[in-house]
Amino acid sequence: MPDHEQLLKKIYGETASRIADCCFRGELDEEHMRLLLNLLDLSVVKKQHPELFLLLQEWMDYFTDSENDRIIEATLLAMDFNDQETMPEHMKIIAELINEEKALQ
Amino acid sequence: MSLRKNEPSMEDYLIDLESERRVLSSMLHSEDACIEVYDLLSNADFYSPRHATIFDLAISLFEREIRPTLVELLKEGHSLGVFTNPRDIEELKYIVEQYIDDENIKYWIKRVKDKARLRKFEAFLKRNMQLLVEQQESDVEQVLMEAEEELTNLTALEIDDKIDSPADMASLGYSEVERRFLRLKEIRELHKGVLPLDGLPTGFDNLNHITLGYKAGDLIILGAQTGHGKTSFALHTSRAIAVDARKNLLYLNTEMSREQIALRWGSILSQIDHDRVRSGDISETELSIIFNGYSQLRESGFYSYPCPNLTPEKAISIARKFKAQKGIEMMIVDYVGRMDKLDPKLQEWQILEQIVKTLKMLAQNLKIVVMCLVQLNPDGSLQGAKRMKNECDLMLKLTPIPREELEEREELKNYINPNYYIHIDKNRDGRSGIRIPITFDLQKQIMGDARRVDE
Repeated sequence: MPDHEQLLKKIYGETASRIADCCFRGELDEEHMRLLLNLLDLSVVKKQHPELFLLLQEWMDYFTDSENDRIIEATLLAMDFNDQETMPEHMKIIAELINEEKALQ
Repeated sequence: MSLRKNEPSMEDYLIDLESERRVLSSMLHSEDACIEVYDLLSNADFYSPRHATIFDLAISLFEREIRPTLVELLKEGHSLGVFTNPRDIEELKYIVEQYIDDENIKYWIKRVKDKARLRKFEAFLKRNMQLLVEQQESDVEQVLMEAEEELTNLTALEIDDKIDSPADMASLGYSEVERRFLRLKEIRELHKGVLPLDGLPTGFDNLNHITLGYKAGDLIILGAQTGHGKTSFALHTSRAIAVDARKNLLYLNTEMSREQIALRWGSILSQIDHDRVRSGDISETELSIIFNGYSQLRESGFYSYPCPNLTPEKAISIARKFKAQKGIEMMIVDYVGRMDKLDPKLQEWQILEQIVKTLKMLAQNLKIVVMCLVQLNPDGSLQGAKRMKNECDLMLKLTPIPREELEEREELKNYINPNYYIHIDKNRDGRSGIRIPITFDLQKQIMGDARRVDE
């Protein structure tokens, strides 16, 4: 196995266990743990929906903990990452909310 | 006798946690490993209870078609309350790091299995030692006989093997006769003489009547010459089983693309000429009929796997996966001549014979029906391997009815437009040597029993 792939697997394992560990220690609630684990699997294992990560990056650039931000967070928490049919719809909603937030700023 | 320093301890002989971790790690990295492990190991084979739990979680995810990654395992374990402290997570992380390549999975499975068998042997020794101490007056012959039987089960027999005692055989025989007696009674009283099927519907009433359906564990060979309806027969069978009877079926196709298979269904389910469906030369009404046809397919149990580089090993692996995840009752391989050959030194007939033997074993092990399509020579003989016939339970040949026979054979005049025969060349479970006239509409790609004039 090439070195970078081994390194990626190591980072994946470390990150997943760190997220779960934070939940055990009460630093993260269960639904946030699930969201972070889902995002990790999506980027490293499933390698799907790269556009979601661009959206999240954009969201962070404009994040002010506003009403819209809280709706985006709730949308992310409610997303079923195994349902390929509803994922694009949810991402569309998030993109619209980010745009709205950008316009407000 | 005490063990010398550096000599392996009894625990080393009986326990191999590294192999257990490597097997689990492989399951978390590869679907092929899950398929391999699914049939060969059970949670009882793991020494560590935590490993057994992780194994159960991974298998449960795999059965639900969720890839058992570390993340999915963490989520599942968390919801079920299996992981209760940070040390569980540490252990899981450690397991994930023991990654092995897919090629080595069988080696590590064997190690886990062997250690489990050794532990059973140790338990056997302990139990019998205790028996000797506690029951010193027992009949020696009896003690040795019982020990021998138990030991034989540990050594000679695989878990699935079962020897029928005279009582087992008598019970089985009586229940089979009773079942048939009750069925015949039901036929006479309820079905007014029409035989209910013992297996899956064939899609042809006359073939149903003779075979009583395709039965689990059966290997069926369907032979036809090039361009004489092998794929049409496969899809006709799929329609009867997956669309009409709503049973799950896996269709492995080595020749056609997924688009070609999907288009064929459009024609079969709408009864509109295939050429017109393919070219889009249809009216709006016909488009709506085709849409309705595809709605039936959407609700069906038809799973298609186009696989141009199919090997016998791959067929086994795919079949196991679909049996575990979808509960398929039948697999159709279209067709065996196109399967990749792994050993170029073997003759064509040897390879085909091997493939068919593998498929027969697969049918029996998974308790599913396997149908494989083969090419016939122009003289009607089997291309490549006549010995394939020996392996199968039912051998069917699809041949066009010669024009002179249509004109001269009186019996055929009782049918409306028969143009093909299904020839039952071999039938392990009933009559053979029978030719059933059918109608094969090449334009619409549909088949059916040839209707009698007086119907």
